Amino acid sequence: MSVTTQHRGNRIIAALSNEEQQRLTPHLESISLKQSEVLFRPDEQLQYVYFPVNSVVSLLTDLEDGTGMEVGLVGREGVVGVSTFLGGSETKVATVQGEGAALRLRTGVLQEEFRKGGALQRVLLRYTHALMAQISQSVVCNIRHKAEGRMGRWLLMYHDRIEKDEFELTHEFMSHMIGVRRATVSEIAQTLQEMNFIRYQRGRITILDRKGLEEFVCECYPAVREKFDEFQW
Amino acid sequence: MRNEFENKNDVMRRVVSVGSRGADVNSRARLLTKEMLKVKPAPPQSIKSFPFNGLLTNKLLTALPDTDFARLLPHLEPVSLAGGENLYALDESIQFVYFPETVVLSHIHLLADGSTVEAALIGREGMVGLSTIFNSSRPRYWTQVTIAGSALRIQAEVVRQDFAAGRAIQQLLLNYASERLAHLSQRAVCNGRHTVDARLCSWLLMVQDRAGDHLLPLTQEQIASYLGTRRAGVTCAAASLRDRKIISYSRGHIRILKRQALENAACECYRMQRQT
Repeated sequence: MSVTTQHRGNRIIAALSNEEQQRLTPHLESISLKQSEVLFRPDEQLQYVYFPVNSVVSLLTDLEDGTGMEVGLVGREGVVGVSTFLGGSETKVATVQGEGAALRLRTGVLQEEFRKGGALQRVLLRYTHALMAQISQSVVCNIRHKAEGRMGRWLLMYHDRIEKDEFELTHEFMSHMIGVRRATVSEIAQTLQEMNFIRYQRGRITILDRKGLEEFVCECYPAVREKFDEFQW
Repeated sequence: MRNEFENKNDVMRRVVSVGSRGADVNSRARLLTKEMLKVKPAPPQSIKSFPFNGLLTNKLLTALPDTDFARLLPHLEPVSLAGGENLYALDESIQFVYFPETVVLSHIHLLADGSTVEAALIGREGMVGLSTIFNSSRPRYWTQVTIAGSALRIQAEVVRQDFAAGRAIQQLLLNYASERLAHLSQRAVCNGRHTVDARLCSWLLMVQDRAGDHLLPLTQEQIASYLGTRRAGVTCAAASLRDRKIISYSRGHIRILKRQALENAACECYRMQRQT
């Protein structure tokens, strides 16, 4: 089995040495992730790690009252299940927000390759640090920035990863993502639509003016984007 | 420290008025980075070296097997760090990593409006300088001394070599990175969902755990700048805790009187993080 274009669609797999790609390719399973599929919950033993190709996975931290919030977003630049090579247990819920293709790899295979200390280890460590920077920025954004800016930032981060201009997003999902009531989501979507940044109809969002949206959102978007640009999207 | 903060804020306000509306986001980010670079790290004379007294409390260093610790020991330099100092300049590569003993450090983000928010607290459970061990680019936050105290510092290169060789410190630092991710995730959801009253309690408990002292040299203004909230909010929350005799405060110090009551008033985020 050869290394396919699809494999290279994930930037971590693309960054591996030829030798590593040859070794891992037989173990990389192409799968499609379904909308709202839960990949893991806190404290679960992970059987697989997931490398999104054009799917997007959301990392959420749940609170005891059942509410929670998204803290990070993973697409083709990353991997879902960093605890498998870091050790420790997952504290987050990983849910598919944008369905699409991904590659999965058995945890044991990843761990063995990680221990070899090659390009895979190097890129996974740099990715881990970038993920830390992304979550760190969410700490800031969640307390300081208005819901409009946060929703705009989320749309850009999602748009960066989903590779299409039109996608489905329910109010319920958005309200969970950015931690506001559903009614507030409607108001914000309306505002962004009036500014001609997006079109929002029956749960479908179309990004109309990315540049405009970039200028509108909070500073947290460029701050995190800068870090991930190192991964050559 | 206050003066330093006020100066930074003035600079930031000017920057924002030049670069806010109409400028593209990247240039906004660059402007901010430029201002952040002006913050200078602690001058060498303020980081004081002292003889090693043999008492080691840092959780990562104490978890090292004897042979690994023995190899690092000649490179470990005990230092005392003064409150308010920044450990790193943003435009210089990281030379030392620090393993806190009694010092409590914060990662502080500066925002375009000149305000600040703390993302992570680091004490004896951890270390700072992870970006250099992971060969990642420099983070955009400051590493600031929140509670003055001691730490052990070591040339980053020494740790990097042991890490790359797959020695015990590798697994310890990987686990710590996992804990840091959990800490940050909890802080993110906490900032999004919880009241300033509950967040103040959790934060004081997290600082006390790391400082190991009931008396914390902190002003309310400082706490507000860490929690990313207005001073009035912190004043109000602190007054309520004082009225219930859970804490007392005077002249830039906060004393924790009833730890259990403080835990009861804190949000679940304190408990969740202590488990990790």
